[in-house]
Amino acid sequence: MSFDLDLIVQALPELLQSVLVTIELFVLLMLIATPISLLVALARVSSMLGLRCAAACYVNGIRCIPVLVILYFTFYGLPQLGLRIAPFTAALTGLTIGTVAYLAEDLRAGLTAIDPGQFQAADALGLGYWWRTRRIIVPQALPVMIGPYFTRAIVSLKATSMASIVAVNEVTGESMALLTQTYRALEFLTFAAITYLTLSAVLAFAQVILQRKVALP
Amino acid sequence: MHLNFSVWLTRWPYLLQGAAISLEIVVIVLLLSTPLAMIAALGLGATNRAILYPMMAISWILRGIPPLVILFVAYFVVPQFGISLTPLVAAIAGFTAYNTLVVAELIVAGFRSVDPGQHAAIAALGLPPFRAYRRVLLPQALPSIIPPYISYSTDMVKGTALAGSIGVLELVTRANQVILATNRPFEILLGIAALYGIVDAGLMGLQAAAERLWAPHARR
Amino acid sequence: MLTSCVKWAPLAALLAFAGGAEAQSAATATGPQVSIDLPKPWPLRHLVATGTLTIATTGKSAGVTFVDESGKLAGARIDLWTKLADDLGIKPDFVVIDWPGVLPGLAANRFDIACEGASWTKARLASPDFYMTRPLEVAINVGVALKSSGIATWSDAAGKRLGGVKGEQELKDLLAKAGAKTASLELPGVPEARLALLNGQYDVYGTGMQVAQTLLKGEDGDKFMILGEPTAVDASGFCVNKNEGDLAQAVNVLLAKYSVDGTMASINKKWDMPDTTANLAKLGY
Repeated sequence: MSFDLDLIVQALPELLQSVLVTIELFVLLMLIATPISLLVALARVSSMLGLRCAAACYVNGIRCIPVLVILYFTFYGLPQLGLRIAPFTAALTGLTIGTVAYLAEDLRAGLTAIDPGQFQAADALGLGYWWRTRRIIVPQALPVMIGPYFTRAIVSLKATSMASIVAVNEVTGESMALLTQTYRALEFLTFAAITYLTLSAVLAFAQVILQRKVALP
Repeated sequence: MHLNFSVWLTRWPYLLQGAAISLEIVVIVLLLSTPLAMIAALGLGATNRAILYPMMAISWILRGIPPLVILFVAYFVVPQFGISLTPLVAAIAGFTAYNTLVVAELIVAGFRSVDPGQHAAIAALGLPPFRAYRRVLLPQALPSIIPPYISYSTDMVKGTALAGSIGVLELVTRANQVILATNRPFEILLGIAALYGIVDAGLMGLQAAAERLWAPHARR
Repeated sequence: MLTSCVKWAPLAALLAFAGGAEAQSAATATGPQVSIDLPKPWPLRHLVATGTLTIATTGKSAGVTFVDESGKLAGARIDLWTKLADDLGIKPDFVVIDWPGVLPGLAANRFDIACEGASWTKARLASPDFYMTRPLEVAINVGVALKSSGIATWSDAAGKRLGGVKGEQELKDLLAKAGAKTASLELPGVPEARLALLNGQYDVYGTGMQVAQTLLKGEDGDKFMILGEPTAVDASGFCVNKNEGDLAQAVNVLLAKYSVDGTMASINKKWDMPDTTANLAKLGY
């Protein structure tokens, strides 16, 4: 199977457009999911039983359901109940619901790495919850969280490919469509692989920089 | 939406066979990739740059490219070098390669969470490295490794769906065929979500048990 | 490509005669009895697995290749491939594989034959990755709409939301017919395209006649209608492994035989598919 660069060049406008859609979807996804995940992770280690249980139910429940099913019901199921959602919104909603559960669990693992004595010390000192979370717990957990956070971010980046199930023209869907159209696989699979590799290289680079900045003393 | 689950009356054997194949892939991949990840983690945590940099590159590539491409390489490219894998073996090989590096990154991050002073203390005490790892560092690192490890395992359960593209008739591929034949997408999807749910719930049960085992000191 | 043109010519002439527009009457008309002496087993030297015809199929095309209630592969193409393998004197081996893997597998020498009906295009006919066989059907592409939408003709369809399965020629043909540049909604597969149309998420679905008829026969089928004029009519065939010119020729000979001796018509009848043999004659086949 030879590589025909012309095919890529001819399809470049559509392909680049789909790369932009992937980036947009991914950036919005992480912007929305990161703060929510952190809150859910904190709820998971909270001293309030109700909060802890609710967060655990969400995280474990969602991790049991394929995101594919969530996306399918959001986009193809809700209109039957009279609620019509645009493809991009459906994709972003479905992916956020899934990513939050996974990311919260990754972040919680970082929080558990903190010596429990510190919680007790903060309690003993009578420090307020938010103050102690922001100033003591999160800064210590941050160096531990960065690795898993970026590992998850890379997984979420590739998970955006599921958006094509709900008619969003992102890179994987566009590449597969071009495969169907031209009956050539190598060129478009290579394009998709290079796109994801490049984007994940950016993430890996950001990880290295952040890890240097917040390295443990 | 009128749900009518009667499609499952005739289609369940076909779909359950698919579930069994998915489960087989997950179990074998986890059994293979977990020990491999421990070895790969040594490379990713190495101070020797001749080991570290190539490992980082491998990790970046395997985690960065779409898993479908890894499967295609295992099934379509590897045979060009004279090793012909069946679809199932190719799928297991591809997923194992991917999951090994994902888990290796988790292990590295977990060990990074252990106070660096301890590494120095171990060196000062002259503990043999293997025992130091097993007795001192591992128990401390495990609480931050287990939750994401289980998360990625549940991810792997659903990721097996991709194996349909190299001819493994696992659960989702079969489900899609049945959806096409019956026009009952919601009923079939709810059913397979339940099947996945059972496997994932099992994994989460393992997580809860493991967390109790390795984190006996209560939080508060 | 199909190397032995010389050997082919007299046979092709005979078949063109027999397979012409008067196929049915020609077969019964008086005249010289024509018989062809076909090799069996066919000496195929480059099969992926010796003694076996390795066939890649998605199992995701209603009536054509699908999984029946008992979990077995069934459909018109499954019957046709089985018959082909029989007449070639080898055993059929069906590899059920999702579409993204079909063409890479054919190019990587994993399968002998694939594609349940690939439209003839100049790029595909000239492809370095596979041979296209002679057409086995005339593919008619159409537009499907909801009856309740009030769209009955192509002039009604102007300015409506057009959609279909992403990447398919059928969607391209719909856009060309309706004079639109882009689709409103590009779905990942036939079940999704059907659901979204039923949900009113778009107005006209560009698809093949076979898929459209399955929609009309299935659940909620009375809600759909096919727009009067087709969007495009073209020919479609199988894709054969590029290392196997001998197989491509054998398949061509057998397909020609099947369209004349009624095999194709009886398979199509069994699966309630339109028989397009007569239309194929217009293309010279």
